[in-house]
Amino acid sequence: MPAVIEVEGLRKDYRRLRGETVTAIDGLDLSVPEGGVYGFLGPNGSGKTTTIRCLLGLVRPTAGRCSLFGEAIPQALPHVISRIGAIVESPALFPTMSGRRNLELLAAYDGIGKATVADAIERVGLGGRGDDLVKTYSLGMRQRLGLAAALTKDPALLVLDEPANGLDPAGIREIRELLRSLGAEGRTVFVSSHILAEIQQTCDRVAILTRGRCVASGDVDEVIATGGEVGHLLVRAGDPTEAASALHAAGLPGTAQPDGTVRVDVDPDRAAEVTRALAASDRWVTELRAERANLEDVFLRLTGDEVASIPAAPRPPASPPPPSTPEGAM
Amino acid sequence: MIRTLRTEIRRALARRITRGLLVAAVIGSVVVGTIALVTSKSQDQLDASYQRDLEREVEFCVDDVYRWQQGSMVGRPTPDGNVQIVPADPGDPDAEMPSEEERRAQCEEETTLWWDRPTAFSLRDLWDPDNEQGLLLLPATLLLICGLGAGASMIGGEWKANTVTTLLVWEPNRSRLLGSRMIASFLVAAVAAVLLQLLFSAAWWPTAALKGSTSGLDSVWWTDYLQAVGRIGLMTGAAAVLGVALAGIARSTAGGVMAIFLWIAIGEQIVSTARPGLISWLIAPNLASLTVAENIDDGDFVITVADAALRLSVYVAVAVAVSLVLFQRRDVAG
Repeated sequence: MPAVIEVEGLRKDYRRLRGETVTAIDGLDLSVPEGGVYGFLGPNGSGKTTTIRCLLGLVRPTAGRCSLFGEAIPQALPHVISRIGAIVESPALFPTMSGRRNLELLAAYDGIGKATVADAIERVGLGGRGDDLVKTYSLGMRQRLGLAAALTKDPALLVLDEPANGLDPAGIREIRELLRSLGAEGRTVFVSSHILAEIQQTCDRVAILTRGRCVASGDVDEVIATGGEVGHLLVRAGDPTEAASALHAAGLPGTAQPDGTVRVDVDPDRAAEVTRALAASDRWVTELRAERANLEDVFLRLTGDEVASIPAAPRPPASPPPPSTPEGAM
Repeated sequence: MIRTLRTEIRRALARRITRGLLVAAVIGSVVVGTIALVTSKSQDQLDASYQRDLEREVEFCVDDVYRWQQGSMVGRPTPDGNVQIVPADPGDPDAEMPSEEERRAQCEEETTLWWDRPTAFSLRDLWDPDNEQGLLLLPATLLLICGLGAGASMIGGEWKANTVTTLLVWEPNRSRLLGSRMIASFLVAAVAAVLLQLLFSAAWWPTAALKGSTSGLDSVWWTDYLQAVGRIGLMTGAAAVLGVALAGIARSTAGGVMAIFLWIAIGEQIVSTARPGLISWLIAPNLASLTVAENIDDGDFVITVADAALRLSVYVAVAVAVSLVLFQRRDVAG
């Protein structure tokens, strides 16, 4: 499968006025295959946006190389930009013009007509507000407008930096479905986000970035598996201390929890062994819950002490993640 | 390049500051024309008023001479019709008192010599080919300032609204983007300046037609007038390009505009005081020479119109080059 985005040894240092150097990206390697939704994760300041800026020719790398569609960036950017739609951070548009006018003026750079702009505005659910001034838009509406701008080009590659920023839960769900449908259409969607549950539900593949380096990448399930943890069980069966002892006696590692449950660190598929062991010691299970390992666990483990800056994200449900886009669609 | 240029022209015309300035200029021209029409006087009215003033002046003059002869205070008439009381020269007491007829004849002759006969507004007043001056210089100054400001906002506004990132995602060729923007600024500002000067001139037409004169507009006048309009249009376009370049360097509209105003208002004053030999290289005198298309020969320095055009062009070109290089190399990092 050809790589749409290829990054090798990318490094970006920022020199400050006082003379000190801050390294935003430190030898990043990344390969994003064609088609599907690719999540780009990392704590604040890990270098996600700087990487995106390097890819789009907005900042000049200190070292390393980037390519899009196999062409070197930034030299070949003018040749490939018409195939790329992008949002970098929050989309900035003229506040005193309508959303539609903003998009029409941008689309004119690519010779795109008003009808295409109107379609893009409709697609992101802004049809009724397209003619309102951008300054009257909420953050979520601006985000949608940015997405509409990116979609106007009918791009083969979408580069989206935090597209769910400022959206309400319904908006997040709409964007999730939109991204999945775009990925299913055969486009490559490269999306950075903090919202790990969203990434897990939306993306086929992910890369996790910390301190400017990629510490894990691949299919979502593969990356979760690299965490070395598949999940655990939470069981309630009378006194938690006694229940934990009974489980230990049966060779199942159980730990009493303050909420009265016992955490059993085994594959959730071994739930039957747990109920059997407790029944054998005359303890009856009143609640049994499987908590599978998720991206957030792996992310927190891989990014270590940097996570202090990550905003709280909703934990994904215990059920397995929804099926990813079929390989054939990528 | 053509598509980018066309888009940049559309962007320039869509900007609020461009539209606001154009509307303000149109309204301003109409208001000036209306005020001129209401307040100006026809040649007959001016003649009658002149005759009244002249007769009053002669009467004062006759009395003045009489009082001078008497060694008293005299009331000296002023051109605005008032009388200023001043100590009279005691005169020569032995001098023979001239008759009133003689005094009147003398006063009429002197007063007629001193007082110019006023003339009603003529369209030739818009631009006088003989001394390269006229009412057209009034909007010219405003046009240059507005051209500079509007040009500066073309890129300063993008930096302020943080839309440079969005722009570069659509047009990543930075030289083409900024170059097109400069050309678009030049074209929009120059064409707008020419049209607004024509509108300003047209606003005076009713006054000339109804209360003044539209005669004397021969081919020489039209040629000179249109040259002045075109020259000021080109200068406004160049001011807009300079605005884009300076605001591009400063990444701020205010920064770009303030830089040039501070330089002209303070920097050039210091230079002209400290190093008079450099005056001919300063912006302000060159701008003055080019605006009126007149050589300046101050004794200490000489600026020809050609020199002024060349120097100002070089200054704009240097600012453009620096701006393009910086924009090409600059990280756009939020």
